[in-house]
Amino acid sequence: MEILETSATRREELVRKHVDAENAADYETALATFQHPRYEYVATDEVYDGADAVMAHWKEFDRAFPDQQIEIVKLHTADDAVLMEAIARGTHSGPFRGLPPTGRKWEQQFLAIFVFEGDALVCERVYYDTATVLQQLGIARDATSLTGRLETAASHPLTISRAVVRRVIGR
Amino acid sequence: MAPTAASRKKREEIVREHMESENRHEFDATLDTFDHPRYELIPTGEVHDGPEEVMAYFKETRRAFPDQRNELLALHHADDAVLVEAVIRGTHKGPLRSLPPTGREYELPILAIFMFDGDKLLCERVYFDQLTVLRQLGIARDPLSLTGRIETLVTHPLTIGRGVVRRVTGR
Repeated sequence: MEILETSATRREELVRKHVDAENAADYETALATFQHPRYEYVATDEVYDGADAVMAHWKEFDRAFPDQQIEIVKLHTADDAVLMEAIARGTHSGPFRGLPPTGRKWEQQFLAIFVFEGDALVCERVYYDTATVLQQLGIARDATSLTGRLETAASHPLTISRAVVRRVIGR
Repeated sequence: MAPTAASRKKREEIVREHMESENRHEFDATLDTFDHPRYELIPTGEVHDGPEEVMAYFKETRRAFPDQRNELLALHHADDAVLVEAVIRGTHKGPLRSLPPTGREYELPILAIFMFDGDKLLCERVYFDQLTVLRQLGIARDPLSLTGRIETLVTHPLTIGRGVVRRVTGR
């Protein structure tokens, strides 16, 4: 079904309001943009469902990355979703899941699918790259770089030595 | 401007043929679905532009993962793009850059943006999580898991040491 232009405009406005509220750390307003608050992070399989879980999720990130900002690169409006390409930036200045703050800045381009039922926002599903952020925080290296390869060999000796053996014996 | 019903149908045919020809390993046919062959891999910043580079990219990934195949989960029509949620699966049977084959299987959710000018496919831009693949190949751990945190401490003592010092001294 092709959507009416007016409905597309309303949805885009709601997405912009959602992002602006997050950037202003105005989480009550951000929460109110959802009819049903829900986040799905594809990379980690994390799901935050309902107002309490979503609010706790925002607060956790606000504590770890208090200056986090989202810049919209492009909105793609589809029949039952608005898909947003965006860049998120932040500084790791608070503890995050057992990691003490590193003080480092990170930046990454990601894609968020704002899922709609009619004009009601019911879910934000996020595709992002964990490795991009971890590398910039200085707690992971590109596994295909030289230092990354040495680190992989040092910290995963069994996997790598099995693979080398397999290559040598041709199986 | 929103695409017409005829244009949507044509674009969807191109996207489906693109993905199905990859599964059939008919990469000449995949290349032909592009008016201008181009890949942009957001997590790594890689760009493969033009037929030679795109064909080399197909060959490299299929050398590492000869059984790589995709499964289309959802397809979203936007004004100048078709956005696809899909899962890629494969077995690491050949060298990947400098990493010897591990023999392990991986499964990776991706979001691919097929960018169109009218009915001409100009670019496929892909969002995915590198760590999801590396973890399944056994060459990286989630740094926020317990074993991952121990490994991070062992392999990145300076970053973590600085972070702990900063937390203790409050700076």
